Amino acid sequence: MASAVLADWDEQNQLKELTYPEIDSALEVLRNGPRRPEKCDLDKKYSCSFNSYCSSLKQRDRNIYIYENEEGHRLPNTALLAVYIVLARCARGESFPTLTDDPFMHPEKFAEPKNQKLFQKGKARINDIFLESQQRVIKVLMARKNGTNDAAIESMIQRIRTVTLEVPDGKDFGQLVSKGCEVPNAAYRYDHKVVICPQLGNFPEASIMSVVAHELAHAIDPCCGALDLVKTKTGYEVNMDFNPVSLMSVSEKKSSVAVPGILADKNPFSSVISCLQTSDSVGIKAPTVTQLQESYFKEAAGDRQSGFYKFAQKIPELYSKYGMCENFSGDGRVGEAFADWIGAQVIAKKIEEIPESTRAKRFAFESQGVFLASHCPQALAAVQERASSAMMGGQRSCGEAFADIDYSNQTNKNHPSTGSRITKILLAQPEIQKALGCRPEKFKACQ
Amino acid sequence: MKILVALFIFISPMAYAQSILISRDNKMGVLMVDRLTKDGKGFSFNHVKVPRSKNQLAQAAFERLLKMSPSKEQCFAGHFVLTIEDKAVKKEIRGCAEGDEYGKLIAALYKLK
Repeated sequence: MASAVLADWDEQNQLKELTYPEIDSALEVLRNGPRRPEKCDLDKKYSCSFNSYCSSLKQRDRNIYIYENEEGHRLPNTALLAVYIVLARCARGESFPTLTDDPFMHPEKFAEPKNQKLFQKGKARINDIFLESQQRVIKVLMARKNGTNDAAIESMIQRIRTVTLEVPDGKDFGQLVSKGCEVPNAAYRYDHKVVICPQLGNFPEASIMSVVAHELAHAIDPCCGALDLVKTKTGYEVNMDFNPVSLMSVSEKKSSVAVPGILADKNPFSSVISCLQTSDSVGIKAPTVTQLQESYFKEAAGDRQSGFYKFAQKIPELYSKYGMCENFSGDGRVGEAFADWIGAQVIAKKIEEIPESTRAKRFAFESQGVFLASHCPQALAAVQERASSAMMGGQRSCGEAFADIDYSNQTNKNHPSTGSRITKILLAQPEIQKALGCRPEKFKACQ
Repeated sequence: MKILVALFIFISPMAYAQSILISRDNKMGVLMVDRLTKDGKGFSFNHVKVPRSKNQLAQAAFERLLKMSPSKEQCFAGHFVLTIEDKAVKKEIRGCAEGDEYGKLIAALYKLK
């Protein structure tokens, strides 16, 4: 009885908090933003930093797409989409239209038969860019040969050549999500495949290229590159033989090693990997042997029979192979920074081949695309402010939904911050600075 | 007495409700959040009462949420954090935002949307 009364009380009070017209008007304001963004002013002098380029897009918070190039390839306004979804939650069960009919923004729409052609077109485009990026990563590796590291470089090339692409099918939304594609995403997996979500199919070429080159680079990063690549019945697999649950190296003998791993001291990119860890560059540091040992000795709390204690003693011998791997040290950021660096080299070389300076500038700008679409803090703040004012102070109940979005709870702490990645790696590259004509920051281009 | 009644009113709905928050992010740092709450009268999804006609869908999604298990494996696409609030007890489960079970769970939540 008490609960029924309370539920009624609860329902009545909730309904008072926000009425439909307030939410509807806010949703309308967001939905009715311009479909085509105004021309991007790249002639203005920006500093070579992510924040500076973010500020160039601040005025576009009304646009459903923050950027569109001459070929009609677009960057979605992810901040607008996120706020729209939260607001729509407050619509109290009313059905509401999605922000657009564009399946590249709402991937659940790829399942509709009318969108199959679009899906295939996007997939073919991603495939073409993947093949070009693969060749470009190989060129970057070839340029690193110096007579003493040739064998190591050749084995890295062999790894890159054998990576395959997977663009998950959009027909079944559950399947798409199972591949990590609820929202735009990309990954390199231990099955030696690069997965690119179909939402990226209509992004500008440079935006896709920098993502694909980054993911390909994971095949040779300081973690995966130190492990053997083995042949399986269906393809290849990175032999990650360290088990993070048992804290043991399984050391299962795989007879079919296709490409042996290269340990840190033989890595042709060791100077780049060291440089990326300095404060002149992105400044992320992998945990050292001593730091890791200390943390496991602490977990063992003096118990010499505990698994933690035994593992701590083995760390020095395991470190050179697994030290840069997330599931060994809990930190894979050096690998991420290295993948960003390879991506930056690919973009820099591509820009050098574009004779026309306006096109080169546009390509350099668009190479930041994925991050500009989703990580400009100014954009989120501007959209939220506009939504709040459209609700004219009635946002109390929506506030509950907004409160659930707690960015401090974000679990993905394994990437350097976005601003750092762009400013200190991509925009530190002289060829990219030259093409953009931006004012250089103090960060070093690692070589 | 009035204070006691007020206190009872504020505490009771929580005591009867079991709420699950699923927060997930991906490699590109995009964050998505959904909350499904089950109380004596039915379900609410993202603070909105689920109509009776959709209770079966909500029940199916709720069961999937409760079945999710933690993972210590390397996550390639992203991570999820499941926060289960049941009476005063709060439990967190962390895992990978990928795989068949995860795909079916999110698809079940989208049916409610």
